[in-house]
Amino acid sequence: MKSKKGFEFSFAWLFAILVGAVIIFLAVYGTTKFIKTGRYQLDTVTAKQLSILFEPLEVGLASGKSNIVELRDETKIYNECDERGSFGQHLISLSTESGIGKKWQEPGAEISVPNKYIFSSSMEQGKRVFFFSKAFEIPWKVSEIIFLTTKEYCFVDAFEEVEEEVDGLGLQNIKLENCTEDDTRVCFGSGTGCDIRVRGGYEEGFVDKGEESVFYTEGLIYAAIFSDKEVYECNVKRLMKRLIQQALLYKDEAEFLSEKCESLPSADLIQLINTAKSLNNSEGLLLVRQISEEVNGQNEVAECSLW
Amino acid sequence: MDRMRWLSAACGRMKMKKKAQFKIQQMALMLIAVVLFFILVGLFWLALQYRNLQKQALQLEESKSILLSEFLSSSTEFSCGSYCIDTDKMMVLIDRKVYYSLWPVSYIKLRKICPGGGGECNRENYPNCSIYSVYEKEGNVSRGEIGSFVALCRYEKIGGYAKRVCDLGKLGIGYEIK
Repeated sequence: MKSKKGFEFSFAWLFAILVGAVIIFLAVYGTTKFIKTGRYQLDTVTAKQLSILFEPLEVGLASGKSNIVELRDETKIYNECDERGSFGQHLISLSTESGIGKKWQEPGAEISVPNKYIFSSSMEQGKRVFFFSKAFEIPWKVSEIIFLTTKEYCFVDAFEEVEEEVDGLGLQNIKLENCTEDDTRVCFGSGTGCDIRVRGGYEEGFVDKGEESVFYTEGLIYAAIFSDKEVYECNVKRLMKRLIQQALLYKDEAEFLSEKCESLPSADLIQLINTAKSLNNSEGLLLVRQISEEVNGQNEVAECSLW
Repeated sequence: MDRMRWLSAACGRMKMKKKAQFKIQQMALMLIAVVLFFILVGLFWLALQYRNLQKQALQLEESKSILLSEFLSSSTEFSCGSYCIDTDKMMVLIDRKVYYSLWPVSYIKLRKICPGGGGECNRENYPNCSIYSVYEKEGNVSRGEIGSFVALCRYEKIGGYAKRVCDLGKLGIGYEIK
């Protein structure tokens, strides 16, 4: 006789399988979300820490400062420049490489940096981040400008002033000789096989990157080399906004001091404000610089120097 | 006789069914208890993480304020050249709301320490005053302060010539404690 006894698939089994599946699904979903949130949190905290690192780069009375940051993992640093508002702002966010889940996930929360001028590509990727800063003066110190890069550069036939600054600041990512194939080649004037070309002198000129070209004045030469055109032009406009507010401050101070001091440069300051306001792109810097030199001359002969 | 046998079999099946139902209920309750336990553990962990994150955010804000106070006095809006703050400039900087978005701090105050005395500075009592409230964020919030000593300089007409006169002061930068 054949046995009619089969596997009894009772309700208890069905219930256990269903609930088990739900629990496993929830556990997997929860863990994935947990890891994703953890990465987002870590990226946001690191971006905030990075934004704090910009503070000690204020040069004070020094001519410049440099710093290297070693990150734990390969990291993408996003630098978005927003020129809207009274001073504009930078929105810095990070995305860290991970061995679990997606290699690169969406960057963490954007950290607003309104009081710094960070010149870099809109996205930098690497484990070592090189920073250095210099004062931007036109005619007074408008602000420190920060250069951020993860790339290695080789400067071919660099200007004497540039060589002195690279040596003086101990910039490890910039070579002045023995270029390798991995380096981004920056040619000053002549030279072949260049990724970036600088036309002009230390005080003013153009930097060409492929089909893009930007104008620089003194202090902005590194900014033009290290930045994207978009970030560079945006930061130039932000610097002009800061210059305008400072010029308004000096103009009001000149009026406030008019009883005590004579021949303060009020009228020239208005001219400087109007020129800075009309700046559309970096080429307008040339005119701003010319007027700033006149204002500076006026300030030097005034009874009370404003800066 | 058959009827009796059928009744006792039906009774046995019902007992079995009740037992199975009881087991299912037991299992469901157990599952609910386990899920609730994990939810509670998760909530506890979240609360702990939130506190840590808040602490970390406060530490970051504090370190940002410390660094800002070190370098703010050298920025053009405050500086009078080298290692000093221009109080003439402060008089025109007070309440200039456009700058509120530039410095991410709770307040910026300058206090004249030596010689002391005098109240809040305005155009009427300047320079015989001691507190320059450069910026103060609105709202009643808890605050911490980081301070650094600075020279407060201004132009004075002495003997027919404009000369720079300096006093000792303290630059206080406030940050929010959440």
